[in-house]
Amino acid sequence: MSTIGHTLPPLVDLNCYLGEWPFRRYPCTTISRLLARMDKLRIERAAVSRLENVFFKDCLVGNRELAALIAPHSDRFIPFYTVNPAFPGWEDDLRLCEEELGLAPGAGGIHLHPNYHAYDLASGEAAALLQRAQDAGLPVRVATGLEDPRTQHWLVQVPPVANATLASAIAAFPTLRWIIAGLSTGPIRSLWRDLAAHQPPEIVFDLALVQGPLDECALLVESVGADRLVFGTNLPLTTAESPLLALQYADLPDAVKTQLCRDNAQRFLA
Amino acid sequence: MPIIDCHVHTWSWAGFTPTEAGRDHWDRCLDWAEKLDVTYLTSCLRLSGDRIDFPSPTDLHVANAENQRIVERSRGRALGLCFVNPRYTEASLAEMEEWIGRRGFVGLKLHVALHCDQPELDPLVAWCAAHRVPVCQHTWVKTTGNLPGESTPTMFRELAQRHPDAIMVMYHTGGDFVYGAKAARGVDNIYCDLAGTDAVDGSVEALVNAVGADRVVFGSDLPGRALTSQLAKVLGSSLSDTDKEKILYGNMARILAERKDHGP
Repeated sequence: MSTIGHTLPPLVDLNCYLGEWPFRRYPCTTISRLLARMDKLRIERAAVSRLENVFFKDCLVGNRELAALIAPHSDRFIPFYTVNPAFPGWEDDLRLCEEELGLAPGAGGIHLHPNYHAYDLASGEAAALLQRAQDAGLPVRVATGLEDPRTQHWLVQVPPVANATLASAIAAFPTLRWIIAGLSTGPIRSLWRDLAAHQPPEIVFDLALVQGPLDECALLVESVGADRLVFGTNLPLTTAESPLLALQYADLPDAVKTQLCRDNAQRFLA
Repeated sequence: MPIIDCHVHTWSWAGFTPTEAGRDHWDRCLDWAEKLDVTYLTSCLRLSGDRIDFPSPTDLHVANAENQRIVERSRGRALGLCFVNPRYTEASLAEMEEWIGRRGFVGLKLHVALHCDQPELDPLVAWCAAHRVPVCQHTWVKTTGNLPGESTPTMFRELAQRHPDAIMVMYHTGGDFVYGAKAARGVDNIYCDLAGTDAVDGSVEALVNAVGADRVVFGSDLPGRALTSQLAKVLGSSLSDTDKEKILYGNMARILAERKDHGP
């Protein structure tokens, strides 16, 4: 057990952040430390967003910082730029991400925090952004939650994005490419059931906060299918070794593990 | 490296098991124990699928008997914790006399029936101190609000300070290792359990920095949590191999070695 993930293929992380969190010091918040962790765990590439944008009002500031930080490592990072559709001027900021920072299909995506940014993903303002993403062929990643609500700072209590809201938004944009990040096992299964006839062809769920119950990976493969699950870490907030160990010891065929570790993400990002 | 997981429950989560129609849930827990060389310390907090927060004396006896059946069929991979309700002193002491130190039971489990700083716990903890068995008390401090009888690390500290000779295991370390570590610091008979929280990066290193590696013990909260996510907290940490071994095995092995069984 000493070498974590050594039996797995190299990985692609579809749920990663770069930056500081206001409520505690985490060990892996700089680009050099993140790269060292990725190297150690054989994570080849990470789809990354600026963590500070969870609390920044002007997300363009964080997006520009992210672009500058990852520019020397373009082979390792895929930027997912944060957009807040409830904040004025998001259309111009998204255009600047495209024109100035190079956001384009196959070269990144849009990242959303509906709960921390206090808007309804099923609202008209969010729909305008989702329509724009769909028209531009950009994938959208929704951060449904970042940490256990029971352990949040007492002044910043942010519930996870409700499944009903997710289901409504996803059903309204079935041809959008969706990454639903940060859900645990139960909500993934119930969201999948809620979507029923509206299950879009391009949707994936990451495994970062799938930390139980027993046999969780096998359970999810059985519930939503092996082509809907991707490796994700939620770094720097969550221990990357958690999904790695889950995949390493899952009672799944090697071919399925390869799908979850890398192939599904590569197909999604292509 | 062998592992002792000091925090496992015997109930299954209906609807959460991928092979519900197939093999028994506990058998699959044991498969994981054998795969990763783990010994479980189990407690039974549910009857017929429902959690029993305020168990009657009869409930306690049924739950402990159920746990004993689980331990018996554990292929040598489980030891039992005796579940009691401090609101029933005499019944709890009777359960402890009946189970602890016999038939594979090695310690006490207290859950959410009563805040643990209350005097009703004193005779139970004194009994455990005299028999050199650990007192495993559930603790959480939830921003979203605790259950009515749910104890915090601060309450646990109060109890541990009243019983300096007892071996006090703070289950979950309050669910928030920053908070739990501050409560445990300076009280040398408190051991901090890692079970049942998200794998927050760097959290175990912070806990060890606060209380020392000799006072941290591994727990998973299986089957609600996966063994892998909980092990990742330790195995993915930057701690030394020596400290990891203490947390995963050595500290709890030392605690369990203090007990002297007193009957069949």
